[in-house]
Amino acid sequence: MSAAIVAQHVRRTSLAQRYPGILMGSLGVLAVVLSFYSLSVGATDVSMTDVFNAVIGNTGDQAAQIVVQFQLPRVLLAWLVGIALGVSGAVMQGVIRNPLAAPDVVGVTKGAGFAGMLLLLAIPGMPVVAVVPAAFAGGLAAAALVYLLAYRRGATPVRIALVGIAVSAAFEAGIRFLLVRNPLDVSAALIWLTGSLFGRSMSSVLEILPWVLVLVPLIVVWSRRLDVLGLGDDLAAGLGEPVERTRRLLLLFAVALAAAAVAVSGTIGFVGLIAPHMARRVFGGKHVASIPAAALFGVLLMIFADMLGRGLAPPLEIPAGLVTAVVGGPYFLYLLVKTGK
Amino acid sequence: MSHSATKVRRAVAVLALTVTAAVLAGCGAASSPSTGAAPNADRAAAAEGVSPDVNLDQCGKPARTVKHDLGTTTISGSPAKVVALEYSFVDALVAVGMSPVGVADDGQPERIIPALRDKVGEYKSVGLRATPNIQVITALKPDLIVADSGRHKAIYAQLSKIAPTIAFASLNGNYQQVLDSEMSTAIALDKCDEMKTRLTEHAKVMADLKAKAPADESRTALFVRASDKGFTGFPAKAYTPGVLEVIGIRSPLPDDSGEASVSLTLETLVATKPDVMFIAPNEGPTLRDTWAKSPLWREIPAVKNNTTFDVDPNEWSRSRGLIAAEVVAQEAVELLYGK
Amino acid sequence: MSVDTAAQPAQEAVHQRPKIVTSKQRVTWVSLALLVLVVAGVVWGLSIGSQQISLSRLPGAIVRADEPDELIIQSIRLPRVVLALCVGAALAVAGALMQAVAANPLAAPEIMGVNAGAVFVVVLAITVVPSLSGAPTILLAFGGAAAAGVSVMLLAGSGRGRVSPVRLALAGVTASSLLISLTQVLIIFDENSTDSVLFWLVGGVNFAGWQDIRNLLPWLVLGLIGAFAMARSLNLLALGDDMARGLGQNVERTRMTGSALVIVLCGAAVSVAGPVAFIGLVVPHILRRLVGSSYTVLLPLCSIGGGALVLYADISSRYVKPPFEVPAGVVTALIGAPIFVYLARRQKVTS
Repeated sequence: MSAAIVAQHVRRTSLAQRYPGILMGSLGVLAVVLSFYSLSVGATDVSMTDVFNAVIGNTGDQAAQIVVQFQLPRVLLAWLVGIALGVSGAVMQGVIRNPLAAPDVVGVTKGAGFAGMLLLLAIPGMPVVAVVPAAFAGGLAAAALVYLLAYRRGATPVRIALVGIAVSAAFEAGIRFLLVRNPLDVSAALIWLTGSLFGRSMSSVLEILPWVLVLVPLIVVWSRRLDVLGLGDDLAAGLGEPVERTRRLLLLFAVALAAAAVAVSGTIGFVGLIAPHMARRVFGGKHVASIPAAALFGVLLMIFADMLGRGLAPPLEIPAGLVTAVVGGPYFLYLLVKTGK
Repeated sequence: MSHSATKVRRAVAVLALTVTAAVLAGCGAASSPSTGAAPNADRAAAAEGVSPDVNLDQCGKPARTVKHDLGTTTISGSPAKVVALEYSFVDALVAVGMSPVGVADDGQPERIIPALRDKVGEYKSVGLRATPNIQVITALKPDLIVADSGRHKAIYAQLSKIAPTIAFASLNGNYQQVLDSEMSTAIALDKCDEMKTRLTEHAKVMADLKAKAPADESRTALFVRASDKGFTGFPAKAYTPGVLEVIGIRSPLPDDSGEASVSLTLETLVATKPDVMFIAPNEGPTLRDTWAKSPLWREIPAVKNNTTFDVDPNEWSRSRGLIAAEVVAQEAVELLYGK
Repeated sequence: MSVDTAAQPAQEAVHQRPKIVTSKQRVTWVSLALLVLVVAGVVWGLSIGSQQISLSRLPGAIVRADEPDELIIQSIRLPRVVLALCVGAALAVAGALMQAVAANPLAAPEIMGVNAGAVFVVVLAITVVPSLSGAPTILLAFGGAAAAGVSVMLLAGSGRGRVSPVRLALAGVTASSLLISLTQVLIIFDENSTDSVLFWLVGGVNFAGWQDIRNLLPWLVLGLIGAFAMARSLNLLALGDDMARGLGQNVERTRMTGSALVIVLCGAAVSVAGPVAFIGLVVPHILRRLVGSSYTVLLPLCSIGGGALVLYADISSRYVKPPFEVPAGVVTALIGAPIFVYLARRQKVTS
């Protein structure tokens, strides 16, 4: 969280807007440092030397090395999920032109959650790997449903947000129905629903990696179009932008990113909502800067949440989704007050 | 406002919702949870009480290949440092005179029952059974990990990287599965003879207890967990009723539902007509306290006969092991026959 | 076609076709229909269960219960039916009140985080101090409901008169999801009974006893009487703050009283029956379509209609997974969610 405070402070001196590169760079360095530090955090004593040795592949203390090896995929995953959620949220807020929009709002999170649960609970023999594509498909389907239902001679941003909330509630109802019908593994299902990086391995990293590698650069390239969309439909159309088509494509990218994130980490809330905010506050409204920044803030949030979850009450693990909710909830409420003025 | 186009779209959307609902209902209807494989419960087995599925031929070999619920694992040497991710695996270790280095004890050591506690000695808690801390497990440098085949399926690959890992049904396991898993664990530990001896002893203990019960015992006994908003009964094939059946006490709950546990209301409880009730209450007030005030409570045969007993949920429900089974059976006999 | 702007007061948004007055005849018919529904539901609810009990036992069971069959009706099925009616009435009236106070058609206890707040506090309390239960949890539920509801309202509106439905819904849903994750984690760490877990996540009246009704009833009566008494003020409020002030209303006081009643009704209902979903959104909405939006008519009908909905949800929940019972909240959520979607689509939206 200190990153945000530092960043906010910097904003006041408006250094950020003048030298975005420097600040972005230092945020990146902060994220990397925090990542290394987080490798040493947990229920057992792992020194930074062990971490360093393990990462460069030196044989130091065997156990410490294994610890780092299990920790490493989690940290990598925290990066990828953070990037995916942050960028996804930034695009959605840009497209829907509502600062309160997020993957949680357009139905992706709950849709993916429902599909994942459907597999986890309703089909007992299902291999765990199958949850990822199912959740991904569920997220996409939910977003498509939201778009379809919100569409009335074009899908106005506010209507998307509103219908998204309602469709999310419908999937939530479905999730509860599944829980009630298959009460045996409730605690496993709840952990997945709260969102956690517990027990994730390299294969999860590989599942989300292609989406991030393809879609994030694409979105950054398109960031000018997001700026144009931000001018309003009429003005954007006047500037020759095919408004509806651009909006659809951008939303599709954002949804795919969020669905991939939920698929590997469960429903981690608030990151997609608050990371873009922090980014905008620090770097201003130009998407070419605010999108990479949203990714970095997403990463910082995820690393922080996972680290805290591991380090707070060892050997018990607190799901990262709870930490992001506890950190993100108050920030969100603060935002509401802020935007209300 | 009302274009025909929007009408079509609306219709499509409604259709999509309906289909979702239908799929949901369909999937719900199609699901019939099945737990593990234990079809050989009745067949006579080589080691006392153990089903023929257990590969006893591996006993005593320097490198033993153990069949378990998530595959086969080869273990060489005699594992000394073992991590148990369910209470029933602690039971298996104690049964062959060993002690775990790490236990997933939910951070509540008192959940390890007295019959095991003294023999367990010092161990490191590895966190919740649902999310055991992989880092702590690694740091313990175990030679063997024993996991639950349902709960730990998703992290099985990771556990296997730390140490050879075998997985059995514990959370949803029945009595037969528990005996089998204890034997398989012993094979992995290279403690076959110890376990065979212990199993023979176990069979004798159970037979002695059964002998204390009248041969013509016709009463049914219901085992339930009571919580603030739940009264959960266990049908005949679940672990605890399975143990009671060995000493000749049947469960009044039919075994046709395919469920591992059944949520009861006072009305279904009255309809079940249990002659005896063993109630394992959670901490704090439970539904039983509320129901006990109802005149209907007294219509239950177990209440009428004054054969309703409070038992410890750790011993009767969470432990699910061989030693725990003896504790349960012993207590049941004492409570029912005063012997 | 009129243009909905911020200057145009609340009633436009709440009832898109404002018709304060409905013919008396229509109100009579709707009331009659609801009563018939309730009576039929009560009889149905009393007659189903794992025991086959003939309906001829009903009168005997209510007058004096000696035999087991009569006892089953008297001490299991009757409290269950009565609690369903009470919980439904509380939640539906709370929903209508909330919509009036917030001047917002999407305001409802489950959307505004009120239910989630009550559940979180109750679950927290019984996890930390397991010996707590019964009456004290109601007071805790009030605290949770109040804290969540008031913060959502204040934050979404920052204290100004009219709050856009979108802001309110976003704020409420976000607060709810935060509270629900907290509740889930409490449950995960407790590793306790599955039934308790489902109850606090879904809500239902499966285990209703007379004790629950005794705990709920004083608050329900207080809440209902209070609500009915302020129906006229609510009607004036619907005309918009300025108009209501002009007609001599103390707008702030009406809002405060209304909010307090919402918290009493929801907190009490949730603490005995869990977060039964969408009653407060669905029932006032349907009835408003049928009888118009005069609160003098709407509130009493909501109390009957809400009861009927929970009652029928409870009855149909027994067919979800026979012979086992599932909490009624599952059914109300499945009914309510599509209606929420419909309402959300219908919103006039100005960006």
